[in-house]
Amino acid sequence: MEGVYFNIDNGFVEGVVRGYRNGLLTNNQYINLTQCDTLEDLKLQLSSTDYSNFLSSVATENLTTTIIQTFLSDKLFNEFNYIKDQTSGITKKFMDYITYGYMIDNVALMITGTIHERNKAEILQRCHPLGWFDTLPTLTVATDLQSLYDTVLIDTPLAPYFLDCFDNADELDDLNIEIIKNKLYKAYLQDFNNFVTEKLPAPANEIMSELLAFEADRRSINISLNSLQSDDIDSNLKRQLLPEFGKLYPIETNRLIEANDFELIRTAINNVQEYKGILDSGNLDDHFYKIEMDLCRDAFTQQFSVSVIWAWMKSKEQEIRNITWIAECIAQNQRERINNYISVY
Amino acid sequence: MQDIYLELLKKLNDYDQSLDILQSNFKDGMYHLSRANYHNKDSLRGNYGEDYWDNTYEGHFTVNIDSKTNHISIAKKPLPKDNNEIIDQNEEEKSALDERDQKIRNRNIKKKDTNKKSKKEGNKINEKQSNKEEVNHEKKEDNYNKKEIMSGINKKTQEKIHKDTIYMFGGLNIPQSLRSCQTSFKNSIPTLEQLVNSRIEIAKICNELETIEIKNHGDK
Repeated sequence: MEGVYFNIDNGFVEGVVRGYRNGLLTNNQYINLTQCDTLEDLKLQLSSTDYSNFLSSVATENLTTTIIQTFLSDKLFNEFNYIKDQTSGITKKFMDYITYGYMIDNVALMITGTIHERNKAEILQRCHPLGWFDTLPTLTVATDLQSLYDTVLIDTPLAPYFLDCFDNADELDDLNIEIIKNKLYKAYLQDFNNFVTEKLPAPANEIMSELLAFEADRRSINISLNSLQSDDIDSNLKRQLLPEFGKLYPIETNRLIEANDFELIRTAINNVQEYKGILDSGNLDDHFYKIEMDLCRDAFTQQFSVSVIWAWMKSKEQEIRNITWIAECIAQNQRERINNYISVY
Repeated sequence: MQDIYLELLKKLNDYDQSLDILQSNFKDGMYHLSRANYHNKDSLRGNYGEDYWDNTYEGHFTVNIDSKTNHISIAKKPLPKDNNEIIDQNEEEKSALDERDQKIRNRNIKKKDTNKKSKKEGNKINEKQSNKEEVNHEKKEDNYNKKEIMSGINKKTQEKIHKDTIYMFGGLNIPQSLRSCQTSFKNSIPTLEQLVNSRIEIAKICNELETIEIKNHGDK
């Protein structure tokens, strides 16, 4: 029945997103990019794609990989904001949820930058545009979390996620901020998951559940592996950081919490079919990106679903990473490593 | 004479090998850094670099130069022995706090005495209450100041203990390639030490050779 009413509110948005999806670079286009000798050639190749003349205002001598990455990202943000401006109701709320993840990153960045005695203007420039909120600059007065929450964060959409963050955060140092950031992200992911399962109609709820479950599992595995290197992260703390949903939850998540060496983590992960063997060969993050891109590509096979927005967003971020990697290899003349990108379209 | 040349060739060979090792470590390190940037989910706002640096960070390593041989040795900065250095500093500041506490206690005892001697019961009670409030207010203020100072002491203590620099870049959600990058660059530190020392020795041998050459030339 979703096909009957979906297009009234979301038909235009889905149409636009599918148009953007068709503009994603294909394998052949990536091969053409890898054969460029200079960044100027790369710019020329990109002009024949959906990016067209996005670098036309940049002179050849000023062309660097950083500038290319910045322009690519700006295009993504403009497209995201355009789509968000066309949405209403539940779809708008859905897109707001997408931005909360970036807000958490920005909050952590502002507090970290302050305790590292960085320049306020410098930190603000590094904030993610999609996670911007009006009171973000005031976070530079960070002294302790309680006062930050009472004065600034209580009025942001992140307020409900701070419930479990006040117990041991007396001092704002690198580790505590990292712990707070992960607790926030856990609460955010679980809230987002509840939203998609309860409020979104089928098939969006099924597709988004799977995509968010992957996100939760990725975080669980990364936190477990990184906590092996730190004596400050014990099982009780890990239990507070690992998301409580996903394919690993509850049995393998409990094993990851108790695991204190690499072999135990590997055994736990290998018990889940989708993640079998990811720690055995190759780079873990490359495996994660491949799985994520496969899920995103498959998300487009279903019609009348707002999950295409998330899938397009993640695919576009991956595309920007790929193009930046190719540009770096060209600029540094590392041709033998230029094919280490992930392309599924 | 032949021995000096053989020694020089040996040192040059060692230097060359160390250079190869250093180049390999740096190449691996830079490659892992590039992959870490690729895997950085925050990559839309910056690569792992200057953007993440902690300006309050104090270095962990020192370079010691031997006064006789001019050889260098790179070593980790020693932690304070049994934390005595920190304890002494803390003791000083704590005793300053204790002195203040004692002064306030004396002040309060005096106030209580003067209140006891005065007026009617109703006024007495009111005065006691208001004094209590005053004392409580002072206590709160002093507790707050004490907490601030103590947290300052704790912060200093923590700063003096070496912390892993990788926490500057995240810590719990960083890509594994960033850890590999850190390992590669850390592994190059002994090689750098070896390179500098080899160079010093080569320069010394070259000077010796020059001296011998001049002497031989003079004799002729």
